[in-house]
Amino acid sequence: MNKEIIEVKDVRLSFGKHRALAGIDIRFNQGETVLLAGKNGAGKSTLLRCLAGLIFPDAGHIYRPGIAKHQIGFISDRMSLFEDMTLERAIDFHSRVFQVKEFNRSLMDELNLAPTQKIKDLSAGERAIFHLSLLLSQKPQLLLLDEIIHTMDPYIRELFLNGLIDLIAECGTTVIMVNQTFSDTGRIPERVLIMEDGRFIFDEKSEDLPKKIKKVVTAAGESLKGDIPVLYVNRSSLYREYIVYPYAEEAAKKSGYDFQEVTLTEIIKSFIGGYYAKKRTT
Amino acid sequence: MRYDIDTESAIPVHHQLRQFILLEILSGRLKEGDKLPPIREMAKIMRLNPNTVAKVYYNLDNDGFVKGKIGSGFTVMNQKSKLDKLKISMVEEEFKNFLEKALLMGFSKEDVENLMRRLLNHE
Repeated sequence: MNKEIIEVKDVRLSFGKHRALAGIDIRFNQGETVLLAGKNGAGKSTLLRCLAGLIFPDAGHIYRPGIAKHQIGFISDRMSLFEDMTLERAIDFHSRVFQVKEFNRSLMDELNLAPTQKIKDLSAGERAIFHLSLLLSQKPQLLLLDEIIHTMDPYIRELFLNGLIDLIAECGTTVIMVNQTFSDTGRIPERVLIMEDGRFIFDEKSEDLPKKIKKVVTAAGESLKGDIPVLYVNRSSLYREYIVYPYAEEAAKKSGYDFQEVTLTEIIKSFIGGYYAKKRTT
Repeated sequence: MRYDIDTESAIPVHHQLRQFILLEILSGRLKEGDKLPPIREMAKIMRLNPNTVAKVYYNLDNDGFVKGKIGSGFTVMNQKSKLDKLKISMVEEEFKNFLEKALLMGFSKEDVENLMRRLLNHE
């Protein structure tokens, strides 16, 4: 299970003056499901595009031992399929290119997608499901999802996630998805990465997150005493909520505060909020 | 079977799923010889990674609560002594949480004792 399928080494990429990737080092294993979060413009989509081989970095290397280009699937709402093709033709074309013997229509049937429809007439969610159907039959080793899940209605989202679960269970596919919350993806992601200014600032297993981050709630006028690392402060007129990271049990016990648990979405929000707060003060 | 996992909760999902299955067994809703839902089905119902579900199933198998067989899935085993032990530890855990809260609120040990007695007698 722990076979490495991608290694990214010191990858850098700029668009004009904007530095999108500022030296990325990361490895992904086979069968891993990764949530990639971070503020808008942090470099998430750019990194996915590099991993997909759609754009090339200015410097650094991306090694993909053991996966061929045709085993990589990439779904993005900004990506165009063959807009004028009917679904039938697209399936036929795709099956020939990727030598797919049997195309599974079950997801399409759930949405009553007719083969005679044109791709350009599909809604965003329908496109994603259709695209997933194409990819499922291709059985990719690596699937990259660029901010598509949060745009789906609850029914389509469930269809999509079920398709994803089938793929992971059947093919041991590595999935890397850009998304901002766990409420959209359930607990399918087992690893969470957070990016900031073209770098990773956080890389943890999702089950370990609650042990590493806690919060302390105080009255509005009070400030936190002692040497406790604060990532972000939620302020309201009634209370202050200090998000503590990295949380250390020893220091916490000594401080005497009551450390409470933080939900996974709060954690991601705090990292992004912490970034904006830092920028305001510098 | 009622399935419920809090995907936002800080409690690790593998722990939630394990507790959930054990509770089903302890309460008798899952009986000896019953099958656990297939890994993939469980993953879909709970919105979990199939690898997470597999890990939980294999751990339950290791602990002797279920038995996995290739092709026929995981079957619930009868392990009365283990289940009894588990029952005690689960209730103890709940009591500890309750006690911690009560003491934090400033109740004394006597207060808690009196409260418990009152509640038991009223039931």
